[in-house]
Parts: sequence; structure tokens; C-alpha cells
Amino acid sequence: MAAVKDTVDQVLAIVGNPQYKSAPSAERDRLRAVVAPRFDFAEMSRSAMGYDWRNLSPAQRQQFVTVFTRLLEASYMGKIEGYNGQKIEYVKQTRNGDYAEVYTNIIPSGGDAISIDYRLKNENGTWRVYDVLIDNISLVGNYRAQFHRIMTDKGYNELITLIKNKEQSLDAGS
Amino acid sequence: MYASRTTQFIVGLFALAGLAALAYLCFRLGQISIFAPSGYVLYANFDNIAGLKVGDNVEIAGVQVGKVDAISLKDDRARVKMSIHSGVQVDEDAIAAIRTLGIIGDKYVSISLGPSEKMLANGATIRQTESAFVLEDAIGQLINNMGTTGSKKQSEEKGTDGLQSPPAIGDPGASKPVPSVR
Repeated sequence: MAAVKDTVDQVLAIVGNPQYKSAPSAERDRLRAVVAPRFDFAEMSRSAMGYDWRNLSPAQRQQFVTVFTRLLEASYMGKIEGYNGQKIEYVKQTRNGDYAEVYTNIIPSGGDAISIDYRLKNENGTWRVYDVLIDNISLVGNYRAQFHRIMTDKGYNELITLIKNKEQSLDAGS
Repeated sequence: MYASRTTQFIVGLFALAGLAALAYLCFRLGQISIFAPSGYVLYANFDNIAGLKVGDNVEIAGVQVGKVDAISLKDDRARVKMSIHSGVQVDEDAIAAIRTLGIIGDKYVSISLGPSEKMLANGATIRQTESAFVLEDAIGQLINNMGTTGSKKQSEEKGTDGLQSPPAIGDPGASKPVPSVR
């Protein structure tokens, strides 16, 4: 889909741009600016919280979206920045009214292709990503299962703490 | 001497009652319902159902909430028809995934409920699905990736805090979830 390809191309252009080699924080800002309009992080957060979202107060929802978005950034920015010229192929797309799915493969050198599928929703004419499936595993679905366990066992506040801790440990490791 | 008409009649009744009880028992044990169970139909389309068959369970949070009624092909995807117990509500943002009992056991459909307050009606389709875990693919990937030194920047370790990062790009061998063990 043009929307996805467009954003991916922009991301690759930033990552491949030699002027950012010595300016990682500027690169990250640019990446954020390009990714934010295409990815609906609020919707991803809501979906990752799943059933328990209904029981959160507006303040909690806001907090969770912020914290979860930071977790996603910490988890995946490093991988995007580590892009090394691997080939990306666009396999197909399906569309069902206001929902669509774009199937792509990323082919690392010397390894099997990894499938990356984007699920998009059309809101007022703009297509935005609300889930990414890596090797057929839904990112949102995976977090949903983990978060639900923690919500029932330890509660909301503990979940926020755990997410923040994980984010920090990811940042420290990069 | 023949028994009186009344006696014959009563014996006949007992025989019928016995047969009816036997039939009921057969149906119960065989889990076939004579009377249509109150419930509703939901559909889900998967890219790969890898061994899911009619009669397999549909579960939410490990509790059986329905069964797979029919499987057909829609374009290049598998269309699964499920009958769900009435009273069980599935929302629009639910995710249906194919899971396996153990590692090589029966398949079942696991539905994870979402945040939406809009419930799916009879005959609706669950929009988000996750296809089956194919063991052979995962082994193939593992074998292929063992020889490569990936260009990953961060190593994803399983945190002791219980929050595991989902499989990420560039992590050889860590790209499939551990199938749920029951």
C-alpha cells in the first residue's frame, strides 16, 4: 500500500543518510516525526491494554498511552536504526472497508525472510497502522496477553512500573 | 395366557422410556445436541490454520466458549465458522489466534478480548487474527539462523520483571512464541 511504502521509504532514507551517523538524537527525532503520523500509538496502546481498558480512568488511559509509546520506541528504535540495507519486498495487500493489511518481507543477509505485516485503519482518509505482525505474531496481541496477566495479578500501578523499568533497561542497553 | 391389555401397555411404555433414556445418554456422552444449543455464529479468517479441524474448541482465557462448526476456503484464506455459547460476548477489537495444546497436540481457537464496548453480532467476523504456529517453519528458521551473526544492537533478554519483549527483528531463534502448555 502506498501509505506504508511511503513511510518505510522515508524511514529508510533517514536511516541510510550518512549525515546522521554522528547525530543519533537528531536522527531519532527525524524518525519520530516520520513515524508518528503513520502509526496510531494511541490506538495501539488501547488495543494492547485490551479488555482492561474499559476500567481505566481517563487519566490512567492517558498515562498508559504515554508510557506504552515510550516502551515501543525503546524496543524498536534500535532495530530500525540498525537497518543494514536488507531487502524489503511488498508481497500483497488486502482491504476490507476501512481496514487493510499490507504484507511485507524483510530479507536479512544470510537468513530466512522475516514477514512483517501492517494492519491499518482508515480514519477520515488517512491510513494509520494499529498493529504490526512480525512473523505472524501480533505485537498488540502479545502485549495484550502479558498486560492482562499483570493487571489481574498485580494491578495497574505495578504494570506501569514494570513497563517503565523495561523501557529503562532497554534504553540502557542500546 | 397373554397379559392383559393394560399390562402390555405399561410394559410398552417402560420399553419406550428405556429406549429414550438410552438415546439421551448416547447423545449426552457423544456431545451431540438434539435441541439446537442457544448460541450464535462468529467467523474468522486466517492465513494458515495448520491442522485446526471441525469440532475443535474455541476458548477465552482457557475456558471453552464454543466450537469450530465449519472450515472453508475464502480466496486464499481459511474461513472458520464458530458457534459461540450465548451469553459470551466478543467485542469488535478481539483477536482470534490458533493455538496448540502442548507442542504437537490439538489445535484450538483462542480469542483475546479487546477494549471495544461494541459487541459482535450473530454472523459477524472477528477482524484481527493470528495464524497457526508451524513448528517446521520455526525449526527451519532456527537452523538457518544459527550460522549467522545478526547485526542486532540490543539483545532481548527475558526480563525477570515478567515483561517480555515480543520477538523483534534480527533475533535469530527467538521469533516464535512458546506454544501454550496445558
